[in-house]
Amino acid sequence: MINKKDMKRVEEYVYEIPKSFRDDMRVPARLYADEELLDTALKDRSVEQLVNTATMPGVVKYTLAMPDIHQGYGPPIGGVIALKTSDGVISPGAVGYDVNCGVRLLRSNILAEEVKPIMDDIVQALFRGVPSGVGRSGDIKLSHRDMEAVLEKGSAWAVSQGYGTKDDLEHTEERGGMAGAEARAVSKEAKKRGQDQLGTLGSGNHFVEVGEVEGVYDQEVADAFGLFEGQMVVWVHSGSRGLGHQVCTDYVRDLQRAVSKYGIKLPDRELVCAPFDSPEGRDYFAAMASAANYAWANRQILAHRVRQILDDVLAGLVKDRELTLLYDVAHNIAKVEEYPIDGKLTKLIIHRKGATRAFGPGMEVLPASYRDVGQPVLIPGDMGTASYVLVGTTEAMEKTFGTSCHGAGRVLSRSAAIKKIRGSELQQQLAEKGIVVRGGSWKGLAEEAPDAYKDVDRVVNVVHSTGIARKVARLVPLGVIKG
Amino acid sequence: MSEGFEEIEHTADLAIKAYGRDMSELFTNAAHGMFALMAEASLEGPACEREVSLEAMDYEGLLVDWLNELIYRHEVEGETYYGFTIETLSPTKLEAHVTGGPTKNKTKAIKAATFHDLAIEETPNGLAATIVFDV
Repeated sequence: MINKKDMKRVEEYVYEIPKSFRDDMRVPARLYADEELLDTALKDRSVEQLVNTATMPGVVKYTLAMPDIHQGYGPPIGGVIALKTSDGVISPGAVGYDVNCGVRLLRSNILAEEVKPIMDDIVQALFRGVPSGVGRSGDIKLSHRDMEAVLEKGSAWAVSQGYGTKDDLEHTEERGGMAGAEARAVSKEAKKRGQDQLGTLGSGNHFVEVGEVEGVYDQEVADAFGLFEGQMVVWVHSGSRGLGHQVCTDYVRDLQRAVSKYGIKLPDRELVCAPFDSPEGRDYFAAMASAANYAWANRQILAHRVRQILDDVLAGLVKDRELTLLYDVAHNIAKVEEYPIDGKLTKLIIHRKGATRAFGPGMEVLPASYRDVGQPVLIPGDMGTASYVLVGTTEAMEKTFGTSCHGAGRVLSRSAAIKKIRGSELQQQLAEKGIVVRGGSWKGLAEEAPDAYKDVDRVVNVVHSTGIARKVARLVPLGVIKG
Repeated sequence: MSEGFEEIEHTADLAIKAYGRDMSELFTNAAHGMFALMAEASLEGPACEREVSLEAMDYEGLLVDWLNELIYRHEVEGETYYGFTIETLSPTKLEAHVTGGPTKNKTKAIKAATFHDLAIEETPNGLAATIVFDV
């Protein structure tokens, strides 16, 4: 069991467990948290899981967890692990079962005040028009050839089919299509699972949310991002659906053999991995990149649906109904990036599970309009409080492998949430706060209640105070649909 | 705990503890437990009969693969299974006959069964295993 006394405070809000804490640790482990978030983290196995990640072969500098940390499979959610591509491993558990679960934020020229009076109609229209819910399939059934194109081209395939614009690609991480994706690395079972799920929201914590920019903290960056106070915005949060889940299942199973083949010792079976530079490792990377592309295509199509639905509902009320894409970020993914290690620029495989890339100013891969200020970092909170737009920083590049937190992080188990909260009462409580919510089931709503999540303001305060991502705007929910 | 399984607490996802007098019963009850969380089968019309054949490195690996295979079939065939007959079970091989019907009520989408905290342990009454599902 890990205690506070095993951790040393490196700087405000940054705690470190030294390498000496356990024999099998290769590097220290760091947690970004305030005291209250730290106390919460120590209540479940998340910190122990963080320590486990520091044992992985090829790991460099330190492993990290963001302040929205909670218990996961293998690494904790909120975990960041950097390993050398030359002699390090790649691990499906360190990416997560929902490959490229992520979020995009659409902005408008509409004032939230204009649409608040018809929020019920908006939410109703979104609930009817966006395929969501448990096991719900969509209208798109992919042929074998289309599936291959989705896996290898991602959002670009969706745009070529008429879903959205080239401008959307410019404003998506990896332009919505990761290099290295190979459809042949994805099993036929995964393809079958994903065949009719493209353009569907899913369930659990996936949602579409209409929100309002409540306040701007950094006017210069907000201007660069096209955000203004009182603006109506729309969030889309979804992932790679059954296809991504199956990719993870397949490789967690198949890499069991690689672990014994390469003589890798692991403290937790869910840390199953293979050397990045091996046939097995390369296959997983190719499959993961393909699943990531599926998720980007999915969010591209969902956003297109949202645009169509809102265009329809707001016709006659608002003249300029265009929704443009601020940005789209992944928060379950593994990327090849370069960072200085021992003074030398080194190629690393950065695993982010429940953590968001937060590149600082000057990074070439960012859209031209953001290159001077840094990457938008999108932080969806829970449906009752707030969400944030942050900006990536040079500090993040130096301290956290260009990474920040991803959201609020759960504190209550789903069963505890259901016992504590009734979905119908929750809907009523949120309505009294002016938030319209429609969900696929009362139980599903209760599980996603604000009380089940950490305080997003605290989580964001930690990353802002440590400088790894800076606050740009705080957004509040007006209408939410959940699967 | 008369049913051979029970739901247990987990922060982000779903977990069950399954019991069995022997390994076959443990596998059967784990499957029952998982479907109890997920969905109901329609009992109208003829039942569907499916064969499952799997290989893995050990019993834990087989258990996870068994449940994941059932999740896959459930999602892709639109079926929910309620009858499980384990025909062959060794540390590295499972063959089973599975009976079910079209899915009627979906309550939960389970992404996968995981290895998290999975250990098949001996109890005074036989065997037990905790299985955590990613939802």
